[in-house]
Amino acid sequence: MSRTGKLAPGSFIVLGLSVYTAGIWAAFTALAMAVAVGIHTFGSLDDSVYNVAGGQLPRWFMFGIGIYLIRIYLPMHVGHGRTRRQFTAHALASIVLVTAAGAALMTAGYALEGLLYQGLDRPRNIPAEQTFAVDEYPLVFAAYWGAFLVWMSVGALVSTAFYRGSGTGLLTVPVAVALIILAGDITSDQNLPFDDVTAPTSMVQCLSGFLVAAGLLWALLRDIPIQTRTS
Amino acid sequence: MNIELDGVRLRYGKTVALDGLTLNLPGGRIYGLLGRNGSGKTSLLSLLAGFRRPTAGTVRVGGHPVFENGTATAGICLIRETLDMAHHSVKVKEVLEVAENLRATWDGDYAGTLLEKFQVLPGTSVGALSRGKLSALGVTVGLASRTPVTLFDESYLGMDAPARYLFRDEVLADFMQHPRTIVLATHLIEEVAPLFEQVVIIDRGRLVLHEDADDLRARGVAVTGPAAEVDRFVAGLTVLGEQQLGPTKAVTVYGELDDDRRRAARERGLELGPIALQDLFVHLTAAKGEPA
Repeated sequence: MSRTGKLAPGSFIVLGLSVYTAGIWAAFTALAMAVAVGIHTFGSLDDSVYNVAGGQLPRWFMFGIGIYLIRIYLPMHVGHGRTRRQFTAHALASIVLVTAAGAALMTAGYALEGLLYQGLDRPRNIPAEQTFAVDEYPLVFAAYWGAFLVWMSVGALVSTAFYRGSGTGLLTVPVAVALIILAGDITSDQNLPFDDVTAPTSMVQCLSGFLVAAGLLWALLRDIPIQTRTS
Repeated sequence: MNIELDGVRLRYGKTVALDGLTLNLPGGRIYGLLGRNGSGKTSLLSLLAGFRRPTAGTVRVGGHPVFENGTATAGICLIRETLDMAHHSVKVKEVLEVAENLRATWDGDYAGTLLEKFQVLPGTSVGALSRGKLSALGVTVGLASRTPVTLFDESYLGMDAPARYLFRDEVLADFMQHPRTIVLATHLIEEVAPLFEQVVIIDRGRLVLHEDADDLRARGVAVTGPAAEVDRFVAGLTVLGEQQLGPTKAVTVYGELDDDRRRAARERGLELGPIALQDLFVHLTAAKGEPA
């Protein structure tokens, strides 16, 4: 049978999740491009389709990846003799690196869309309230990285809480919602209470949200029992 | 690696799963861990593997505290019948890849050989495996981990008879080549009993006994012969169980027989044999009002 060979314990999580994320991104980007071409063919293409599509779907995907990270890898790591402390370190490093990879892919998507619109000779508008212009790629990267950091870490937090028990999980839901609201809506047109801010302030909000989520994640993981399924 | 438990207590809410358990298991042996449903076997193994923190008391493996101690847990592998460590959505080959990346002692070639022997396809999702194949995957992970302490909790439930025999043979063969501490928790006692060097029986979270398997078998006698002679011979003894086929009867009695009794049995044409561990287990763990 084929084997990947030995990787460092944290790196195979990053590799696995990044490859999965890249596959989903490729499908997402292809679909967004197809929609843009469709709008251009049958109507008037003036707005960035990628920006509209990138507002909600990618961050929910990252939330799901955060859930997956805990549900799949926590029992495997502890089951194979790793400590919860080691797993938490690997999980947090994975969140930072996978979200960076996701943000880089989203930035590449904006760039690819720019080439498409250039080819079609169409303008590419996005709402003026956003923290980045459509071709300010460093800011695009920073905005998505910040948003993804919060959403994936909150996904991992909620997943951990429900793994501990449904009561703990339900108690964590309002905390998760609060973290997401406090972190703001950095990648779209900002209609949450704490959104009327500049890009640097938004990044600080996102990083703060990530750090709070990371702290709570460790608090839940540090002595978490590994569940035994009933047959 | 030695396993030491001292005054270990584990509570789930109001339920006491383990109640002041003290146990010392020297390393390099195969142990049978026996107990009725809800006796605390899985709780005990979960503590040994660091899956849970004990409510009170200490759990040490190789002299090291287990919970959140990578030095100890790196050498321990617990495989449960439901293979809790593997989510249903992952594929068999991914389970092995993760093991290879996390276990310093992992033997990938041996894992591949075992999968072939148990006829488990690497591309199958864990959730799509039958009960027996899931057990086979668990056994594969447990044996190929080659950890100094390997714990199997009902790990071969659902396997068909040839697979169970294969499991038993592989445990023995691998133990001979790579000596380590193996604990087998099981309800199918007689099938794996020949592997046991020592037996631990727990009931309601407490230790009932910890003895050499041979000493335990000597605690009783199986008497076989003509039914009428057997009945006369066992009159007044503690009978654990009996079976009859035509005129021949086999009765298991608790307690050792002295030389006079043994001579009398031979004179009556009765055969004396070792007791089945399962009969002894039933006797020792029977609740009041249940047949012992």
